[in-house]
Amino acid sequence: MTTLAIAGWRIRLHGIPAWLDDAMADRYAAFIVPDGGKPDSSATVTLEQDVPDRQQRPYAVMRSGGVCLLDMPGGCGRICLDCWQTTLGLEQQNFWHNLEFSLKTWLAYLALRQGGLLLHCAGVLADGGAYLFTGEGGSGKSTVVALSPDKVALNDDLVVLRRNGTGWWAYGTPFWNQGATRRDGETADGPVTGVFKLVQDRRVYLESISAALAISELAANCPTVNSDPVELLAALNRCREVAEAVKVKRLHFRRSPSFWDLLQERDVT
Amino acid sequence: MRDLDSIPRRDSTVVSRLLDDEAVLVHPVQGKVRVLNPVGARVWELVDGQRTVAAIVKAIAAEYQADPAHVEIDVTAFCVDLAQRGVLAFDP
Repeated sequence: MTTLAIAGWRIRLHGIPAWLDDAMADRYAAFIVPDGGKPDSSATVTLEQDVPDRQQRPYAVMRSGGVCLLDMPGGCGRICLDCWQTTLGLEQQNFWHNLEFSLKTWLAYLALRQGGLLLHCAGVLADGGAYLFTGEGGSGKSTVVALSPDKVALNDDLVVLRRNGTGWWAYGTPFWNQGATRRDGETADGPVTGVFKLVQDRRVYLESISAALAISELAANCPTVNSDPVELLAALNRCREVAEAVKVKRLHFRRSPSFWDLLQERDVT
Repeated sequence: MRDLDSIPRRDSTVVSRLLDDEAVLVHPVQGKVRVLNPVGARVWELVDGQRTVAAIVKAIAAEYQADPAHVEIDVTAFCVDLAQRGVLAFDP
């Protein structure tokens, strides 16, 4: 049994095979907490026999009332969105990817239902504030983290936002992209200074955008819930709440840490 | 769309929000988010499943004091574009 705490929410995992203990300890080190107390959610994992045909199945999330059904290459799962009990049947092949896919899906729904938002972005803590960087694949999210070696990174792919008083607070997650920039064992949280959509450019500058564009940028980056018709309205409203409280701008940048000078010189809040 | 008497109807799964003068449209099935400019947002507002394209053209031309012939071209093209993107469909 392993208990993870992500953005303050605790999920207890049952049935993780012993051969994953080391990987679990490495990858989730900063998120593993003592097992005591009642968790917010729990997941029971069953290791299933490998079935070759199932490895070809694409990742899919489907809704059936208050239940979220997961289909994965070599696995399937069920998340109850009312009681937050998750059951997963995972084959050994792809086990880790499928477990993370399930945890990300769980977190996307839980965050939205609990008044927060899971955002597809890189997050870096600087001067006590969290700078969040959105962008399509290849736009530079991991690069921003790599260009910030002296700063604490929240994550290079997924960050949780939760309301804190009148503002928003960003929390790191363990879901790093596979690659050299990942910083397992590192996590942090802090008040959101701003959300910056990355635009690769020769010049480094900030560009203001309209409220609608700000909300659309957030909505395009709240995974899973933005493609669930049942949750979409709540997700869009949450994006609006965030955009009303936090500056959302485009950051034109090139592959150099010089963008930090701009961000930290200007009053982006 | 056959003619100006066609009635555009929003796709039922699309969620939209008007913000200032613009609109944000999210199509959950496609996973696409779009932003409409002020005129597009106004057209989207007028797409209520009852007004014909002609009625929308008339309203836009009056509100923006624009040449109805030009508005007809723009609104028609805009609605056809949205239809091609699966955001709306036409009745009949």
